[in-house]
Amino acid sequence: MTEQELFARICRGDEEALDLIYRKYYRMMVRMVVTNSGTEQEAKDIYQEAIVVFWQKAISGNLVLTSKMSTYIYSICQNLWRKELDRKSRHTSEQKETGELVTKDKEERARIIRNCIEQLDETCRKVLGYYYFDGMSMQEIATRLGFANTDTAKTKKYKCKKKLSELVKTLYSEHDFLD
Amino acid sequence: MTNYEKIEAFFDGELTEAERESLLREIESDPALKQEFELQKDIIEGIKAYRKEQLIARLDKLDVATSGQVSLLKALGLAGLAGILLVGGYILLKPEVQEPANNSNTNTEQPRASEQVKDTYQEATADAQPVEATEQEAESKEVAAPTKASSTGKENQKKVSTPPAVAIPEFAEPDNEEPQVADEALEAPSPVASAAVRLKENTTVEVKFSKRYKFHYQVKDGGLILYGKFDQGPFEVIEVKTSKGIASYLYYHNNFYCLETDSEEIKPLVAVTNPELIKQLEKRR
Repeated sequence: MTEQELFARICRGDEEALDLIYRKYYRMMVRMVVTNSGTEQEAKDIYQEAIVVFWQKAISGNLVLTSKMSTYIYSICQNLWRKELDRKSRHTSEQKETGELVTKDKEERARIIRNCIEQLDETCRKVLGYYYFDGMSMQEIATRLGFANTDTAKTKKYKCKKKLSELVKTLYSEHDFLD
Repeated sequence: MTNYEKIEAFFDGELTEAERESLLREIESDPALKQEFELQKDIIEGIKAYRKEQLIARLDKLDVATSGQVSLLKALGLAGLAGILLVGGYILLKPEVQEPANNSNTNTEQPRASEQVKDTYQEATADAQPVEATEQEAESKEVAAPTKASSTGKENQKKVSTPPAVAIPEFAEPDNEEPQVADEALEAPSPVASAAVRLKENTTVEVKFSKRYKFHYQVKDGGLILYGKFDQGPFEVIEVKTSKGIASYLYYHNNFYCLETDSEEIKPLVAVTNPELIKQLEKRR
């Protein structure tokens, strides 16, 4: 399979093609982080993050590759790792303390929302994920999930989102009451 | 339009600039609306985080230990080592054979097809095992030649290079040529492990990547340099005695390629197409 074919598959939202890319460059990317003061785990996290960024950009349809995919992903890894190193060096204990309260509250809200997402059926999770994260159009979602047309996809998205909002509101009220 | 719908339209990018500004002003002055807005924003963030988590969980499950770059390097390392053994045998055989009387013909398979093909090929390395390269070996810049080296000694061993010698800097500089060969490794990691190497010991061989030469070879200083994607096997060198001398062929991926030894020019590997010759060569294998 050529580089172009692989990239085209990724642009179409083919997750198996993403798996191939991930495997293909794993060592190269991990090595870059490890040889720049990172641990193997940090390297893996950075690479996975980079792959996801690449995925989002590719399927958005706005990414025109002017270099090899490896070069592009490598530069994402480098940027992410640079940011991580900066974050580490700036992370004083004072900042840690002040940030803790906000983070805890945010984490709790995120946990509740996550629980609600898990309560949705698989189709709803996919529709919302494809729409908000992958940035797929209604046409792409309809094709991918076998809906009759874009209107069906749009209605489904609306209903799923509404249902999720209601679930979150219910859980939020319970949470406030318990507090 | 309800507040929920307005907020939904806002996040879906369906509002005009004026409508967006109007909504943002409303949000600032209406706490209930602001609360709803913040909640929807968090929900969308939650959906994104969940999807990202799913993608990462998917990647996390993948086995990367035997794939990607490592397997590519392994494959190339194996190809190189196999090539060392293979060309070693070829060079050892060389003194025993006569030079072809007319080796300037680039399409030598045609006349040879009608000649009686006599096998001078020896099962010299009947004990030649498919070589398993470790990651360290695959990444090392130089790999020692087979220990059978006795007549040529260290000098020859030092010359022996394996393909990863070229691949190493590519970890740091992805702009280099590595991805050109990586696609095959994706489909069939480390297939060279089963390469049937039949020739014996002691010569120099290099497998090189080149943007210019995709599937070429060069006979230089008694060694064979292969340029291109030699990451899948098995492959063998077959020598046949003809009335004009010894003709050498490389067997690779179900094809035979004529190897001309008369010059140090880099030449493309041209597949033998003569069915009769192919038949004879198949018999020799």
